[in-house]
Amino acid sequence: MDLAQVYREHYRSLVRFLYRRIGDQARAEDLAQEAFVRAIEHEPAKPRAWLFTVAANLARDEGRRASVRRRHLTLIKAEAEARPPEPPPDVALERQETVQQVRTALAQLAERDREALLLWEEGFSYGEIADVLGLSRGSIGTTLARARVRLAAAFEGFEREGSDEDVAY
Amino acid sequence: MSHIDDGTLHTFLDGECTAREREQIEQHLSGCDVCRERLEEAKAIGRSASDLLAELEPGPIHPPTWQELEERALARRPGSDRRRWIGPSLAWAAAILVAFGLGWFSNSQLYQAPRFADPSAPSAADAAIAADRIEPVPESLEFRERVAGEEEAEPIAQAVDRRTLVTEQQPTSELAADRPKAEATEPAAAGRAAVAEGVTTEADRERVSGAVAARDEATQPPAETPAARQEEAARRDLSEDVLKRTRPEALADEARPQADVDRGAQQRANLQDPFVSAAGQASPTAFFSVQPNDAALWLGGELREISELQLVSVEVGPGGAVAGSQPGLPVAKLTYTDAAGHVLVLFQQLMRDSEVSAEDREAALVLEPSGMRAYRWHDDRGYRLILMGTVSGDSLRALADRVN
Repeated sequence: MDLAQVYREHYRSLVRFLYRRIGDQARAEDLAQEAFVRAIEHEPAKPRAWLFTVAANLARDEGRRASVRRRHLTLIKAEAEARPPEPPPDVALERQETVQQVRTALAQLAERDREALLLWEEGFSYGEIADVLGLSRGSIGTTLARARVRLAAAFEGFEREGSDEDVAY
Repeated sequence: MSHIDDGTLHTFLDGECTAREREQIEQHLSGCDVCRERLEEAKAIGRSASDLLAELEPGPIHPPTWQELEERALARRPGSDRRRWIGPSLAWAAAILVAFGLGWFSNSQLYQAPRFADPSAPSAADAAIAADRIEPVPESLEFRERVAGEEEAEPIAQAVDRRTLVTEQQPTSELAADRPKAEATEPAAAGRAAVAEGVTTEADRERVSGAVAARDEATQPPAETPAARQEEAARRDLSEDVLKRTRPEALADEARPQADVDRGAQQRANLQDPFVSAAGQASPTAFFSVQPNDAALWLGGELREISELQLVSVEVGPGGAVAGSQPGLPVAKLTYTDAAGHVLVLFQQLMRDSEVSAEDREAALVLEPSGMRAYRWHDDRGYRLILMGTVSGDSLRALADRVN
């Protein structure tokens, strides 16, 4: 499969993977484009796995850089200034809260568990996940089981806290 | 009897077991209520995890074209064609501009030099002789032509100025001695001779006032005299030539099929605007500042602006100079700043439907090599718009919605 075809078929998937990983869509698109530009330069034999490996590394680097975090905060501030005010219906507010809780729950997972889960959601097989993360294929089932259980538990924890607060009010 | 571990249960549910493993698990599940219950729990957790992640769905994604990514990869390669081309071109452009700047500077210095106070300066006769020695130059040599124009204009000023000074101090006979030399020249020098003659044959008062008038005329800004106009035209030609050489996009604009050029000219001709029609250009060769109304005339339609942002400048330039724009058509460049001090640039072109490919019609968010993000889109009013800035893609998209 040539790279242009991989781009057409998997670009959105890569952006979604990165968006879930770092939480900033614009940055996710930047990193996805960067991964494809590097793929053009390196011409990998297994482009899809290679792209997600590079993307995962880029996302990790992104998380480590404090300066990038500061810039990100600046951008969020700029976005808030530039974005036109949206009507605040209750549904949108509730969904926004849910999204934030899922994001926080996901952030509580170990890095490998989180990436394995996100790759599985993007349609990767156990073998491909093992390739991308450098794990043995036999360990992927355990990794995914742990990630799913922790994600669900963390989210339920937020929901319980929320319902307790509702009672308190 | 040992139960099935969680990892194996999830592997079973995910369909990643081998046939043999599946058979063993199914055999165990048929006789183990605990594991069947755990299997149901694992199913519910798996569904829950997928549902939760589905909440983190990004908004609309606008991928750049594959060609753009390839170009970015190409631009990064050390020793790529583009880099090999850019380096020498920039060096040549810099050298030409420096040479041009030095010429301009020295020219300015000559105009500003105190011509009367310097006792060692050549006499008026010398200046006229020097002017006579100017030889005609081939028309194709624009630079030499420009220099000749400057040299030709300068002796006129010097000669008239010196005569003005001399007539206040010396007998006219000394000036008359200059006449034969001035007369034995080309037509331009004949004009100078006529000036000299006027100075020598009329009354002193008229002589002085006439000479002063002639001096004033000769010392007007270059655009006010024929020779200076010629010089200015030559300089403009040279400047455009330099720009074309340093900007291959401009050459690409020129190389467009005549039909495209005619179409662009026709669009502007429809406006019946004397400025644009007289210009007769399909696209400018470099960016220059204009008033918003003039930018609209260049575009051939309404100028699109972003509300609630501070407009800093309006420019018009060649479409070929802006990535993502249509070469050969003028592009208007509006520069804004927002409240946070971010610089935002809105490029726009008015295009006809036939000029827009389906691929170009799709909105795209790209990261330019400069590090700026660019959001490109084509609206239903026939405009190709590009909004660039150092803000996020979401911000660009939000601002794009505010373009009038």
